[in-house]
Amino acid sequence: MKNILYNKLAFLIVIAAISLGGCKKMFDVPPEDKLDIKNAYKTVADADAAVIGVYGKFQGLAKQYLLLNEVRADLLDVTNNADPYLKQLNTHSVTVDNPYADPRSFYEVILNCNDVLKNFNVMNEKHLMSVDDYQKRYSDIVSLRCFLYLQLGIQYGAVPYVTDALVNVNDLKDESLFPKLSLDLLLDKLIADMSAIPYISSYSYPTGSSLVIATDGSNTQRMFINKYYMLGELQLWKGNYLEAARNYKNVMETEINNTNTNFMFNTFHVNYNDGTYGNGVLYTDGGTNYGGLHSESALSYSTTYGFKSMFCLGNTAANWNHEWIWAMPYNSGFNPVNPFVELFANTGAGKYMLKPSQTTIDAWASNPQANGIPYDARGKLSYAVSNGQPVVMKYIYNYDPLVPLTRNGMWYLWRGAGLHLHYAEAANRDGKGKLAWALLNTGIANTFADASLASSSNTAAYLATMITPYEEPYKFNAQYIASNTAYRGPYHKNAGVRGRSGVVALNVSYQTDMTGLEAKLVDEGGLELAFEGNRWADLVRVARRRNDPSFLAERVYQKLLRDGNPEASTVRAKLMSMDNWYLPFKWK
Amino acid sequence: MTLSKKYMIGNTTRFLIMMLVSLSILTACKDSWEERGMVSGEGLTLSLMDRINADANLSLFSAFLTKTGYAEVINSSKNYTIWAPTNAALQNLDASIVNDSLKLKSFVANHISNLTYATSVPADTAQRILMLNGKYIPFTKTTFDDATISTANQYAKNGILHVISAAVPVRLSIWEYLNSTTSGLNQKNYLLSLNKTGQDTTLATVIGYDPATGKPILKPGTGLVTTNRFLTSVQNVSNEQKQYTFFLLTDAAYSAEQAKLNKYYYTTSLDVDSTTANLTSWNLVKDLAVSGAYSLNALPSQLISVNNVKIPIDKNAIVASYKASNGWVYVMNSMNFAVSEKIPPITVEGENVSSFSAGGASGNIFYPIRSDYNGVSYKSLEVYRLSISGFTANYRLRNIPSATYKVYWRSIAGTTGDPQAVTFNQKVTFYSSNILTDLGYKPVSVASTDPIANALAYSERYLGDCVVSKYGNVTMSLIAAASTSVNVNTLLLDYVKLVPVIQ
Repeated sequence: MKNILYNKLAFLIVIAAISLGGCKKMFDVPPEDKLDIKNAYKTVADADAAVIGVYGKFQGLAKQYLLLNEVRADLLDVTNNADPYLKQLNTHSVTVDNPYADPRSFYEVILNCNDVLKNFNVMNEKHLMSVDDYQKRYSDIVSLRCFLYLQLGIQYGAVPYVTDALVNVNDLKDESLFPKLSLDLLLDKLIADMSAIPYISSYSYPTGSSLVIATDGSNTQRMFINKYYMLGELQLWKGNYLEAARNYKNVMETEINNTNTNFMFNTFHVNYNDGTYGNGVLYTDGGTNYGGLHSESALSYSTTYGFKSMFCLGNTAANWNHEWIWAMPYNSGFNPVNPFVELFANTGAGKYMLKPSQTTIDAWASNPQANGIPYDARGKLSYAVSNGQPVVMKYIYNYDPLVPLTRNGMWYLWRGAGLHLHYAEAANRDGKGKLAWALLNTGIANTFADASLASSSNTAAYLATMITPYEEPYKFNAQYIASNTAYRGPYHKNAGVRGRSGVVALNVSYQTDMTGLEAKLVDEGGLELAFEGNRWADLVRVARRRNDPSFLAERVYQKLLRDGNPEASTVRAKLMSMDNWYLPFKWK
Repeated sequence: MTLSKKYMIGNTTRFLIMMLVSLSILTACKDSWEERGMVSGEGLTLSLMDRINADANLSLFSAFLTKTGYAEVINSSKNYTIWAPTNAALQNLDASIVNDSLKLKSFVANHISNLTYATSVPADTAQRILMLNGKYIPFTKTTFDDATISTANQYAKNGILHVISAAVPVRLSIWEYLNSTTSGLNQKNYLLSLNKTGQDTTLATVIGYDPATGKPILKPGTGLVTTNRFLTSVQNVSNEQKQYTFFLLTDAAYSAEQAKLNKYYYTTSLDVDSTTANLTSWNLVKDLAVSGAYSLNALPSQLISVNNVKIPIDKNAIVASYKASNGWVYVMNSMNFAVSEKIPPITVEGENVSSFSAGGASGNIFYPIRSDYNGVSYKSLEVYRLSISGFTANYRLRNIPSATYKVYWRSIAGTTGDPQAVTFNQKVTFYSSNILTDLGYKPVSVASTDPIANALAYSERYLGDCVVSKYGNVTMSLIAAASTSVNVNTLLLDYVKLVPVIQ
């Protein structure tokens, strides 16, 4: 009896052992807050999540991007609060351990792009999303990767070009596996990449796409890279001016078929302030009856209309959308945290590490307005003197030092004025100096219209002069007569970058002075786009094109000299050699 | 048992021996390491007072220290520096100091400072060191005030002792000197008349609170503070921390300078009354002190006062000088100020309008900023396209000296961005002492592209003379043409300048 009991017990134990052994997977519960690799990339929603993920990671580069492109150039200077690594950037004496010069963070995003692209291809082969969805997402991520590589090329000169989905970024350190490409060869690769993308348009995702949504007070459409602009940049760097102009022009025509004329006339056209729309400097007094007579104190600090509003409005406002091509908003509710408050503000959470250089301040002070005011008011709207210190305001208009944790703002990348300046740079090099001059100074209509025909009975002849006498991509229709609304060319409000902010136009002799006008275009970038992260690239591109290091070295030298930096001459001598423009491509 | 085995020792024992050896080495090292920063010698054990007592040549100063109680002070746990005069230096000390305990205390304290100051530290140029009596004494590597340091840097456990070969007298500050002086009484009396005594609520004794308002009730006579307009708005020559040079005029010089100014300060009538005397006195004294101590040798022939007036200095006119604790005082029997500097031209900026003759014009009133032909920025008032005839901008000018003024304006139409491109007329009037001076309509110049014509347009235009018979406030008016037409009734003014005719 006892034996039987033992036998039964043993049998039960065996059964239990077998069945429990079969239950092994019961304890292998998949985590609920992490997505396993084999579960990702199942549907188009997963693909959208991957795109958002890459852009989220990309946004983490904002601080480094700004520092590399502005501190190394001539518009921003470091304060005494800046850390030693920032000071190294300022004096072009970067050591290998400088975190701001570490290319790894760029490659981390690039490898993410590569991984996402690989998986998009897999999804496409397995028909997990429609061909249309695949093409848009794939092209978007390729363009973003091109942007990152162009940045690397500008900052480091020669860099490894990787399109494989590596698992670990540190594998890249092996130079024998990943040879470096010079900037010129890199440009060829990138242009080839961009030319091969299956979908190209201004907007990465048209309205109606699952990636274009309004959420948390922002619209996502302009958070994605503009592919025409990207290709335009690459062609401009490469020196293919006609192609560059063609792509930039495509950006200008983004809304050209929109039946809503507010969008059609205003989007990326750099127009004069029409009373409702406009992003130029304006004054709140006087008016046409007073011949443009203004009190100095009547400068508009409006946050919804005019120059300052570009840096105040949210990305759902019409005026914002007329100007900004690419910008990524920060929301205090989510990561990443806006890094610019800390860099620029001198109150609250600000550490005031960067300030406008004296050369920038002087450039605004000596650039008169057509209304007789002897300085460029864009300066007053770009920086302010607060507690006796010059403070860059473009990034912190929406920041209140009394609420230091709320750091709303944006990472500003590309906008209309920059588009017109780059287009003009290409057009100027392509022999269209008059057109470049027009876009820089007084606009298409003012430059090309034949005023002698204005009062003639032959309106058609007069109107005909308001279309630029060139083939595309240099053809602009700026037709306008007050008496007949039927004649309204899409560019009739174009006022020129200087014109819309009321700054005196340059002498017309620049229309036939290619290198002179090119330098003026770069100068204008300093006045209009100061601190927005364009400067170093603009200086390098033009100096490189001219094979004239002094074009860059002299400007950086003047900044350091005027700000009393004892290393000014040393830096100038160093920058006279092009090899020293580039950062060391090393990481720890 | 073999020999070798006898001396064999276990691993554990060997380890212990090694430990002991290394421990002894480390122990032996300890002392010399810890002593690395130590200073040895007498200085470690002797206090400052011990040091002084040990030097027979300092016995007089030691006695003073004991007598005044400073012997105890310098034995406290703080650090001090003492510059001790030798017996030879002190034996002839004025009996009035020795016998007056307060004076003696101040005298002794004039040689002691908080903190330690060695002669290795100060630069060749003197640094001024705060003494315990509140005075600052210049100290160099070799001197203390005018005394030579004979033995320097004797360290004690609570400070440093320097022996000096002469006593350093307690000097008066410039303001203390002025209070005690017997020369230059006119100036002294006027300056002291500017004293004002008030109750400082933070210093006064609170004896209760007003039940109605909750404000503190202050005990009368407590917390009294004296201020002086000269000290607050010219130079604070009572401040020991900084150095000044002060000029005291003899009565004759003072009266002579006052007489030159009287006619610009007629008030109720055309004679010198007390108000006129006060105003001229202020005009005179406001330029009689400068910052910085100028010794006689360093005194230049001309200094600039805080009011930007040139102070002419004739060294032959110096009748006495005093080296104060915070600078120099020079008594002068003549100081020939230029009246044109004392009564300077007055500039009225166009944009500083006090009032307009009519409301509702704000949309037509502009304050444009322009760059003149030299690139210098200036602001103007411009009233344009206003449908009011004879519109007027009023400027209230305060405290205008009585004089005849030559009146100029600078007003330029047709600058870049200015719709007023043609000349027009406007006029300036003055109203003072119930008298209206109308300088009549005059044309405003127009900017030109021709450099010479442009420079002319920017030059000042003479409008006429205005007599201000009595010192006081004057209302200046800028009046537009009697018209409502655009480009005719414009007002435009950079500035008006009133240049007094000095006779």
